[in-house]
Amino acid sequence: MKGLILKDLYNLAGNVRYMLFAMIIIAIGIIPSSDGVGFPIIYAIMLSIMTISTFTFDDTSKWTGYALTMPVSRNELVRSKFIVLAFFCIIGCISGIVTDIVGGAIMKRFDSYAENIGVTFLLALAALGISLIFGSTLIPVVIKFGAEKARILIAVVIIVPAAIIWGGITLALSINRDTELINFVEENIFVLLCGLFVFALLWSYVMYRISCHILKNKEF
Amino acid sequence: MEAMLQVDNLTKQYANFKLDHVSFTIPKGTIMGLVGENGAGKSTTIKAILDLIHKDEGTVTFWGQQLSSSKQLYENIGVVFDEINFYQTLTPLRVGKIAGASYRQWNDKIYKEYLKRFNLPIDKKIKELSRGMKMKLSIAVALSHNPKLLILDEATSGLDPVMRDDILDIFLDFVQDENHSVLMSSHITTDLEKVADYITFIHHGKVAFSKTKDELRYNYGIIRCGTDFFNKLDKKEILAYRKEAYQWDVLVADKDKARRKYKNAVVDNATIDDILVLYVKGEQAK
Repeated sequence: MKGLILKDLYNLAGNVRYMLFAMIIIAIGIIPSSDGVGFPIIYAIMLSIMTISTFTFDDTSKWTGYALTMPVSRNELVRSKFIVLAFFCIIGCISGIVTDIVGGAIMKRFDSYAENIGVTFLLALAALGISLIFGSTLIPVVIKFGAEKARILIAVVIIVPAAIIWGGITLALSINRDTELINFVEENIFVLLCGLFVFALLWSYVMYRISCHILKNKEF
Repeated sequence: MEAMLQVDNLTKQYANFKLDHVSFTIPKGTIMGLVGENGAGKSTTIKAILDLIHKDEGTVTFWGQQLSSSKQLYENIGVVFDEINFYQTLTPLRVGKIAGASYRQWNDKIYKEYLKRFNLPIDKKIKELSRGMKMKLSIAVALSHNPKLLILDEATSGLDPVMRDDILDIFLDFVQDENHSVLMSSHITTDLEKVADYITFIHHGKVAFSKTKDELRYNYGIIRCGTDFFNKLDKKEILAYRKEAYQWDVLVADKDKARRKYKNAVVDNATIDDILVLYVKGEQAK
């Protein structure tokens, strides 16, 4: 399995500078105009998409069929993709935290610095959870339909549930006008974010099992 | 002879195609050529052998064991498909590192020796290599984890004759060790005439024959005759026949017998190409 992970990292090496460039541009655009606490989420989701790019490389070179002639099981093949996903989500979070801190320092927001740094770490935990949910939902879709077709389905898989959740929250807030809900969320934010992270881990495991099942039945 | 690979009644049904009870055996120290027209089932056979497709029926054993029974079996099998399966931005150096991390039996020294022997630059991206160099890189990878069996699916197709000759020499070198064998599918029959010990001919998803190359070369023959003569031929002796512009070409399994029996007929030697064409384009005697 080490070979599979190494292969994905080598394949992505060529994309790193483009991703780095995009991250810098986003940072330059956002840091001056905000209090700069959202980078972990942005970067973690951006980097989780890198995992999907590995499938594109695999499809182009007909890698998967070849990999299955190596001493590698189908489940290990899936596991390697989830490990690569987790790796990039963590890198995204860390680079987001660093950008938040550096951005805060550059903009001399020292007054709110101590407060923001706590928020940054909390958001990083949420970012890790959200990007894991995002990436792990895409993996079985890409395995099933291939990287090319999955691009179209990404919208369905990600945007539709996101819109439903957003709509649900908006509706809940509009019904509960006395800010009781907002207060509840604010008071329990740490527990909720930890819960989100635990949910992300469980969700990823379910997606892993589904991916294994799809790959088991796939022919090359 | 001890079998390296035993394929028994391998069957796979698709909507428009059926791989139909394919059976053959590859003994130790030999090269088996898998021939057949495009779409005959060569690649499907290889994929079914490697468990890349789910077979409906039949068994495949490597050294008496099914592939799924042990990871060690994969260490002993080197596979080369008709194109390189590493992404085009990788270099031979990185390919070696990936394969090295995948195979316990990987020998980096041997890999580097092959790269040198094949004049493959270690730090050049795959996309900058010629097709022949890409195939050589695939073969270098396949040979560097000390395999006992090489499985090659159209590995020499699209290469120029000089490059093909180089690669065929590598396969001949490989089977100098009597514990090594090669299964190679190809529609370039001249390549197989050069290196193969056995020929398995797949036609419409079925094995038309699986014989030693020498049996085909020394026994098979083609009777060239007119219509009157063709009508007098013993149909039981005919494997396949085809009407050409001015004559009938008739494939027989025993050319010496045919020469003795039909003294006035022209009986030529049959190449693998001739046999393949007559089976594919001609008609089989009932």
